[in-house]
Amino acid sequence: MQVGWSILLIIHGILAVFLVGAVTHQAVGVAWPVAKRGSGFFSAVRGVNGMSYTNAIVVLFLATFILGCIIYPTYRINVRTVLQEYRFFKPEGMFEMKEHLLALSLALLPAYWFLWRSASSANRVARTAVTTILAAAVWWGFLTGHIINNIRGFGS
Amino acid sequence: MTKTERLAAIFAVAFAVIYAPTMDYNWTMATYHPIQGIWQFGRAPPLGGGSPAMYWYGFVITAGLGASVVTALAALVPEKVMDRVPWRSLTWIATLCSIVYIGYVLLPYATKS
Repeated sequence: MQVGWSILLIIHGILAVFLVGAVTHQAVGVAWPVAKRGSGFFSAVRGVNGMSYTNAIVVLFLATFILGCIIYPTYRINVRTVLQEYRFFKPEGMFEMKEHLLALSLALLPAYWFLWRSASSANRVARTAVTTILAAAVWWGFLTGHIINNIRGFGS
Repeated sequence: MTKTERLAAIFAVAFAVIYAPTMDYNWTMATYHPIQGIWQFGRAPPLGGGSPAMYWYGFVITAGLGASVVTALAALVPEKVMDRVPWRSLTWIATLCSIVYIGYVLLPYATKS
């Protein structure tokens, strides 16, 4: 049974890696766009077409979120109790923040999708802000998950 | 801004406004007991024997249902009235305010040792 949960956790982590990559590209592209595309790495990152990432980000977010919801009870029983026992309050608080950030991000997804579907200069500020919030939440979730897994992965 | 786009923005705003006090005051719609695999309606205490009670799923349900009701009611309001509200800006401002509120509620985790 433990092996099954660990496999789900690893899939959750792999999906999160794809999601972090996609949403970071999109956020950088919309927040720091290039006026004229050059040949360098940073110019290429800033010059991506953000619209092409939207559907992939929504699907990856939902898949990662659903998997996270499935493995969450195992974390609550096997990991959080250990964090409390050893008084690791900061990682425990980081995970609390993670779950709230991702719940708020889930509710943002429909608005995010519409903002990118009808991307224009009129909605650029809102699109940039929503994408940046989403990227920040995904990064927070990713790093927190990594730290918690370093402290106590399911198999440990 | 199309009506559907506006309703999506209203849902995000309503969810953010409802979610923060929901997690702060534990207005959970459901409680899950992971060891027993039991769901209970509303806020329920842990079942004992070291079994934790999980409220987060209930927070999402509370805020999701609340935001759905607000969105449904907003759909009935005449478009002329709704067009006056800057929904796009409110989408991220409300979410950001909710994040700050939640961060403040969770601050003791960062300070206690």
